[in-house]
Amino acid sequence: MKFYVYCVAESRPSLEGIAVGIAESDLELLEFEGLVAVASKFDDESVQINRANVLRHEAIVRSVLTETTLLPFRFGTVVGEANLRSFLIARRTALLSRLALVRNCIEMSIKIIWQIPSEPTVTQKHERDAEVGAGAAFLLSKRQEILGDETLSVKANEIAAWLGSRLDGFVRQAQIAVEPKQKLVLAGSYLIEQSLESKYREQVAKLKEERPHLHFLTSGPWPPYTFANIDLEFATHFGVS
Amino acid sequence: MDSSFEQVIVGSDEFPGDAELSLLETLDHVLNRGLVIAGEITISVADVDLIFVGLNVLVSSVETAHEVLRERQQQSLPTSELAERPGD
Amino acid sequence: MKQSPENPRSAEPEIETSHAEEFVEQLRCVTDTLPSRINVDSHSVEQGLAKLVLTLIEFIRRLLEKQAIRRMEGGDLSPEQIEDLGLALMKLEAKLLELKGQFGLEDEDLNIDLGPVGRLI
Repeated sequence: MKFYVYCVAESRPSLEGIAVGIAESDLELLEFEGLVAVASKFDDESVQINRANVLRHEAIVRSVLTETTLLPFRFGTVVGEANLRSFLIARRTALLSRLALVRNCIEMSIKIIWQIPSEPTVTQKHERDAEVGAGAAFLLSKRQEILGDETLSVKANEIAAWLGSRLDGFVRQAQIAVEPKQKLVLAGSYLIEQSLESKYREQVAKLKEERPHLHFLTSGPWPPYTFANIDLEFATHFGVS
Repeated sequence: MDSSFEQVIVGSDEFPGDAELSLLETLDHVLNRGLVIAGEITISVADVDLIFVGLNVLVSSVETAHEVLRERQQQSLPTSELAERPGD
Repeated sequence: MKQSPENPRSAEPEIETSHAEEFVEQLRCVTDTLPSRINVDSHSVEQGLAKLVLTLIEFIRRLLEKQAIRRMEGGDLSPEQIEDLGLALMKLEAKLLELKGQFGLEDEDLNIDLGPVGRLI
């Protein structure tokens, strides 16, 4: 029997007032050693990524969040009962510690679009040397490109650092993705204690005013999607620094 | 790029700008993040995990990748589209 | 934890911006790179794998370029070596362009999101 799972909670929510789950299945609670998975039966081959399903998933997780601390599952997680059990039992310690991290917190999101700064190209004397062959010229122009990239990188990371320092007192944990070559230069997720939400919002309003050339998109409160994942094994597999 | 997914989002006047923005932002949260149970996740989200697993496999060589590609074509994927594909 | 109308955690997430169109455009790019999860037809699987392989090669190619430049700047390569290295890398870039063309992939297609590690390129 397969289940679509929405989140894992540290206590049993009442499920009051929550309608029905994905594929019109009733919601149920599956409990294994004190961890409670909120799930609904599912037996199709795959989950459609459409508006209805996505909003339903989000609404269910949000509802459960009003009653208990939880870690949301990624949309579309369908699992057999046995595998769910072994996952929850095997990863119990990591899950409990993650639950402790997100307790009483909500997630707020900041995305920033910038006008990509263009750098004047710096030319150096030796590039003008007619003796330079096609291969060397290729490398030199690549070098130019890379230097430009590095400048962009520095500027993008400065924005991240600015945000970080200004939000420091309000944030329990932050996860920031910086893309120096993209218009969407920064996407930050912030774990905020509920009680600090309004102070956080005030601070963000100030930040928007401080840098009007940056375009902000702020959203929240969200259940702690970004802080739920206990596995970062990917970083070690690929070894990228 | 397959557009059936896009059409659901972009659609028509049914989904004016703000609703689309809201859905996209929601998608960014529920689809790119959250707990993952590796091993048994349905095909639709397995693509993301396939990539993780696939990368471990493919880092070795391009030849291996070609083999994987060929193998997948011969594999019985649970869909009728495979049978209907011309030139197979 | 009682459910109550004042409980901020039951509120729907607000999404606020003065630049909705810009963000829609950017966020669409994110969803565009999702593999087609609904269809499991072989063409899209193959396309997905080709994308993966080419992304990796592209990544390695860029690493090689950076390394070559570092060595060139470090001064431990002779002019002939620099020239040979440059030509080889030029050919590699051209080859990859050809491969991308064969699979109908653009640069943006190759910039896959690896989750915690960020984007590959």
